[in-house]
Amino acid sequence: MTLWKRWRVRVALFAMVVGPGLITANVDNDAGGIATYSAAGAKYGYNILWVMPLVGILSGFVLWMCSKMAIATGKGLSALIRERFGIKVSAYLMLALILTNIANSISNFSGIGAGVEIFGLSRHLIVPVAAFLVWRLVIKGTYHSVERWFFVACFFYVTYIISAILARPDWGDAIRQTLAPQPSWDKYYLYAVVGIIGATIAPWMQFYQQASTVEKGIPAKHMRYAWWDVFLGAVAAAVVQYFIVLACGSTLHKEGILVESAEQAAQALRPIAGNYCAGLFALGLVTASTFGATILPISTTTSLCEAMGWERGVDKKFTEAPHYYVIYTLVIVVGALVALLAPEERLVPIMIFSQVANGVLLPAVLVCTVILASNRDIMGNYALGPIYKVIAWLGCGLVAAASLSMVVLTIAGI
Amino acid sequence: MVEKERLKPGAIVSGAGLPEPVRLTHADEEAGLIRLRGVGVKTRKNHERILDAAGLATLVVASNNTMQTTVSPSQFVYYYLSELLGCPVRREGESKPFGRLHDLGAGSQSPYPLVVVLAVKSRKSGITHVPWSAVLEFTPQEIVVRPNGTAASGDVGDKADFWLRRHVLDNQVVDISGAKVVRVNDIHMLYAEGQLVVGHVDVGVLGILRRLNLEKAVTRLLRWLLDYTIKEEFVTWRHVQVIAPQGSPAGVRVSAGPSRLADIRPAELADILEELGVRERQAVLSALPVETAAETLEELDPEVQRSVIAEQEPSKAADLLEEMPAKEAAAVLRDVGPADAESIISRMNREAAQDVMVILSHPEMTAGGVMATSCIEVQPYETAAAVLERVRALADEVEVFNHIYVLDSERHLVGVLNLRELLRAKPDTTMESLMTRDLVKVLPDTSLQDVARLLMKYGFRAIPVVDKNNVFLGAVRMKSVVDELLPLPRD
Repeated sequence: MTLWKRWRVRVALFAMVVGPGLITANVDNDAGGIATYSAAGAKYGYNILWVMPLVGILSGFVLWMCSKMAIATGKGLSALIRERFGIKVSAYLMLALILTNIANSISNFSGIGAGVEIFGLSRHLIVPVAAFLVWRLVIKGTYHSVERWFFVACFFYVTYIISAILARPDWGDAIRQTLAPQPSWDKYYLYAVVGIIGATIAPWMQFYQQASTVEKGIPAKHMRYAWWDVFLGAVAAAVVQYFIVLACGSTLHKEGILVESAEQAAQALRPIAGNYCAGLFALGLVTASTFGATILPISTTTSLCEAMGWERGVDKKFTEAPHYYVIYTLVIVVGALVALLAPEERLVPIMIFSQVANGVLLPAVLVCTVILASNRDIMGNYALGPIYKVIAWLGCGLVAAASLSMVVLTIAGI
Repeated sequence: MVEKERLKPGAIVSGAGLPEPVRLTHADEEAGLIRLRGVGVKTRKNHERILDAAGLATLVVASNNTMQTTVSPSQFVYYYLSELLGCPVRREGESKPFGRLHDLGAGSQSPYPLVVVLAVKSRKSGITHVPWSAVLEFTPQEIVVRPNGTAASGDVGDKADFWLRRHVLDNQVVDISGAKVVRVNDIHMLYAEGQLVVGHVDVGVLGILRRLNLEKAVTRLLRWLLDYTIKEEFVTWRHVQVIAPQGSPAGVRVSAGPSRLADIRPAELADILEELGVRERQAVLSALPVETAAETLEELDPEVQRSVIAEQEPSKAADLLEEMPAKEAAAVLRDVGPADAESIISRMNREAAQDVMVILSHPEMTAGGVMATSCIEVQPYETAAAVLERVRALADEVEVFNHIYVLDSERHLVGVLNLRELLRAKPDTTMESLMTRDLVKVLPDTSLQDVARLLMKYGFRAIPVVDKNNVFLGAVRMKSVVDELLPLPRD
């Protein structure tokens, strides 16, 4: 083959494989994530920038293991957990997953509400409409065509990069603090770092990554193209996260304004950095929340049905796959209703609960992931080698320790 | 047979594998099984047992209201695998158990497989294999085995064709009667005449609840709250096809008796394959006759098709694609990427490879990209009788059946006739005199929309495709156009 032809073949193969990694990593920057990054940026400014690339690497590595499992086995994460660890482990993991995902769903629907209010639209109008549209996507079987649009819509996250540039950061200082960080290790700083890790690496995204890679039907011999997909996704997501912190660090932090949520950040940006910067920030929030609100219910339902062996898929009728429809509808309805009806101060305990459940679930899922990914019976020749196994255990240990300490800190009530 | 109405609440049942006599609180019957629930007479514990209706033949019923019913414990006792696993295993003559039951190995010779090996796990020596012949006593409370029966471990394990816990429990199996993939929540086993036999797989919610130790709580709550009883969902083993990885990770094979998958229609097999993992899929496909496998492949989603073909050895993939109509094979090859496609085509037989290459040389949504290449081609001087004879012989192979294309010696399309005209004609008339010369034909790069318009306008089942020099290439069928332009909604 000539060089040119070989190159063309490679591009064609990459186009065939690309998607799951890019979408999953980007959707991970949902309402909850943006809130965490904004808050951290506002409080610590450039001082916390160094965390973002590191978390990006960790998150990419975790997603890569899921992608690998999907390609080697053709099965979802919850099916593998059920087959390897039995019903008890999977039932409790699924219970935790459904609870955290409902909480995440709430936070995304309230993200949509808060975002549109910045543009002067009523949340009481938009949230039910959004919920209905999301519900219809899957029920009418148009989800797959939409998924392709997600791919395009990943570019919407560029709004954060533009809004950071509009915020006129001190580039030299930012880069210096990223490469040679001087972290101040008090407990609040630790809490912020741990929060960023918890917001970036979420259990649902592992399940989603694996399920959507399975659906792509990528043959094992094209695994390295899937690696590029995950790699690009992780880089893109980390860049967006970095720029969110940068935007808030260049403006809110300098003025000494603290924020707790993404919409507060957008509103606080307006007087300092101008309407465009704030508007783009809010637009990003609405887009991100909509993605999250779409993908969470479908990911929850698929994982649960797969683990329990219930029929799934929209090509089945309600009588054939009742669990599928009931769970799917439930996640959306609960998410939208609570987001709409509960006043904001009531949402705080829900969010705290969600973080705790997430923090307990994540280490468990990570441990399962590493055990599964290094099992030769399951993975065949694609099992993690000895070096990767050490890296995986170290990385997962780090994330697990972070999320467990998050649980302790949250319960201790900092 | 005991009269069912006498199995009323209040009756006392003993035997039946129950550790103590119980007073019945509940008995219901479904699908030849009777489910007894009762409270222990002495301990007041809840007990439950499922019996074969035939097992009731041995119920001895005492007179009047306080019936004393007994079932001989050696006959027709049902256990769930979940209640057997973890059961202590003791060597006869020793006071303490040496391990716990970890797995049961079954042979696949009979329609209902017999358990032939026990895997016992102990903290000291790991897994020990015990042949079933060494089992002296068997209850869910304790298994007693002959002391010397546990010696040779490696060889005995090989006797099992599959393991119930490792390969079946929590795994996917195919339910042949429902033609679908189910996940096994529990396994229902029959203990009769000293043999333990696999009877049903439990695929229902009750099975899940039972294994979470929540069965009683949830069923009671539902009955009390909503007066609702969850039904057992069993699949009899005769309808179960195990798809178990055997030995090394690479060597997956479809196990448990002769494959029953071939009874399922290809379209349903395709749905089944889509639910399975990569290796399981290959195992099922290779267990099918190559024609069935090819038909199944045709019905698969494009993504799954691609993965199946790319995972196969190129020569095996070529074998499968040869069996498919060239148009379908081309559709699959378009999806696998140019490098794989080339290596597969080079391994196909010449005729099939040429047909596929012709179609691949045209874009997807054009007449050339979806045309069928196997048509009935005849010469102008042939007689109706001769052609009819050929049609009979070709009936199984050709894709376009309604039309007969008349070609000259250089394969130029000179006329068309349909099957009806051929059947009506006198045996000695020639094609030349029967055929229509006023031809509706398209070029390979004609768009499918235009092809559809022509098909609708003239009411044809198929329309011939010719190149610029009027050389016949194939024909586009109505079905192919509909498939491409109006794809069925997928999930």
